[in-house]
Amino acid sequence: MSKRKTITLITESTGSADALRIVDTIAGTQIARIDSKIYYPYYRFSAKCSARTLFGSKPISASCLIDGCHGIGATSDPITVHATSVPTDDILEVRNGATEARKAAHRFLTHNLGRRLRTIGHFNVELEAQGLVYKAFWLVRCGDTVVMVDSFSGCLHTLGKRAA
Amino acid sequence: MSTTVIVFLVLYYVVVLGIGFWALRQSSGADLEDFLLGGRKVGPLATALTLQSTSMSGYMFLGAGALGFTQGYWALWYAVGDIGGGVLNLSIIGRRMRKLSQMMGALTSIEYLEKRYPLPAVRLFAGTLTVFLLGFYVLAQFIAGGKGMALVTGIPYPAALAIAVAVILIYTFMGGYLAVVYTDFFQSLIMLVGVLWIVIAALAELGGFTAANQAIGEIDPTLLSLWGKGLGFQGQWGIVAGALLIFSIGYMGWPHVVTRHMAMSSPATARKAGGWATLWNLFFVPAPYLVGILAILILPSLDDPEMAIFQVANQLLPAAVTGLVMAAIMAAIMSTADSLLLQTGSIGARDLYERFVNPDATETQMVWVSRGLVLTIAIGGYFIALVEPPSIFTIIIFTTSVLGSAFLPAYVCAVWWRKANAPGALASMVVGALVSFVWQYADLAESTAMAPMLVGVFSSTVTIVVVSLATQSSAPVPSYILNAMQEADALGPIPKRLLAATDFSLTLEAAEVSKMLAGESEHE
Repeated sequence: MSKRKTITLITESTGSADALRIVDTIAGTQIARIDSKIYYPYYRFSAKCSARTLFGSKPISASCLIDGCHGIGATSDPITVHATSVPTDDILEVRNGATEARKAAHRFLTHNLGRRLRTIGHFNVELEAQGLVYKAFWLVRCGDTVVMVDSFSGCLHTLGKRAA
Repeated sequence: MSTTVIVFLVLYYVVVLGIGFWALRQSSGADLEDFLLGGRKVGPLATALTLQSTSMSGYMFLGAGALGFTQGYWALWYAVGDIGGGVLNLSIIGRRMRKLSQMMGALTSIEYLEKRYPLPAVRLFAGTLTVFLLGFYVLAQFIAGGKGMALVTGIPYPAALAIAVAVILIYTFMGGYLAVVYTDFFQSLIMLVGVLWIVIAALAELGGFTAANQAIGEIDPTLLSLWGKGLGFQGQWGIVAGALLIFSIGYMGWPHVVTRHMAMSSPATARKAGGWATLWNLFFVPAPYLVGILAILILPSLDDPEMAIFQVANQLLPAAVTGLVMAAIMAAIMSTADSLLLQTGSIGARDLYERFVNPDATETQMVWVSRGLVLTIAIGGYFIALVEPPSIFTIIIFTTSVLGSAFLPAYVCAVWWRKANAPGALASMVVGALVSFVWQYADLAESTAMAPMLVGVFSSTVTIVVVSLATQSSAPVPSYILNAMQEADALGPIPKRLLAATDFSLTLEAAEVSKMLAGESEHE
């Protein structure tokens, strides 16, 4: 029996049945099946920012996830988390440190705010680290193709052809 | 300009600002944050029309009309290239660049170049050249904004120019265009309807196409040919190819345009957005050129050809419609200028100042560098536009030729050719920019019958190939880049519909999971 580890998991909104339905609907088949489930690490930050516009200053709060393997930033919808025990073999290894993740979060948020608001300005980004969280991905087999389905957003990414 | 025109023009801005204000007040919570921080999925139609309204610059409303007015049907070569440019750009570099930039963690298109071609000089040269050329490009928007403002309000050009530049700066520094973010869609529709209305009104005034063409032929039959006034470009295929290619492949060399690929959500959305954009282009792009051609008859004594579209609208449309259409055009010009200034400021601060001057720069310092750069461009641009304004057509052709010649092979090879390395890319950028610049500066197009863009792109392409091959052993492409490229084009026999639904934002996770699965397979 494989070892288990307790992790902080982002609460799923796409279950295994939903993942199968998504893949079957898009592929136009009814042959999808769940291969496995893996857990991907992210550093979670909450941020309080303010943006000045012609209509006054606007407070903005945001949630930001930094990829624990590559250090790349992404914003996220508000998430809830819970602790759960999962097999260690299904967890991807963290390769980036918390300090780098914090820098990446700051840079990502300021860049994104400037781009979206189309302005050059101070956003006073205040970050609060909320630790390492994991997101589950369903690995769904559809014929000889494996597709990865995000258990939070329901978005998918193909992983190509793989032997069963 | 009549009072009715000014009233409807003001009304337009009040409505646009009202929508923005309402949207801001309404979205006090997560909705606005979601929009600002990228969580919201925007549909393909809205994506396409928003892009079109911000990318259709002063050139379309002043430069294109002037070209049609002075050269007749020759102008349509430019329109044909422009119609298909967006889709060509998307097809050749779109999807691969989106994946590769995500995997390399690049936030700007200049940073992406350095990550793909890991040599500091690549970023230094690309950043400096882009800041210079985008600054020049903004100049065209200032002139367009000033001329439009002068016509609409009746105030003298120097004052109108100052107002246009000041309004653009306020938008850029204060985030005023948050309002327009919500109204780009509306604005692009007004622009399309307005320009088509001008074409239809002009044709009705002249008794239809056939009658108009007959009348133009009586003035100067060469204006009806595809070779320009006096058949000036007859048989000059190098010039024709340049006119056709400048806005088709030229887009692939614009750092501020390729940045858009880095924000695509999925291939399906990108494809549909490309389809909508092409449809919009099909109706919109030829229209300003046609209005310019028809203005030969409507405004035979027009002093400034760049005012052809504004003047035809003023003469033929109902005053209320003229006000709305002109407001939409002015808003589009300012929106383009604002976007260009933001890009320039961002490249100056992030890609040059933070990267090469002060790596530990605080956010405050970066903001001031960015603002200082934008202010310098605005003041410099104002005086150039005031003292000796070049024609908008000249500015756009110059900047597009140099940008395209410098960057097109570097961006295309970045995603398609694994042997393209840093020395090759750097040499290609330098040679492309230099050849294109010299070709225009020395006016070699006339004596050689070859357009600067054509010669520039040819030179930079040959350079990247030759130098990359010659330096493969001394400067090989790092393995992590080759791996990322392999992942970016690893399609395999995957059902097309699954591939189209792929979410690009999961590219890194997918690469990591693939590695994990490959490790498991080997272990088994």
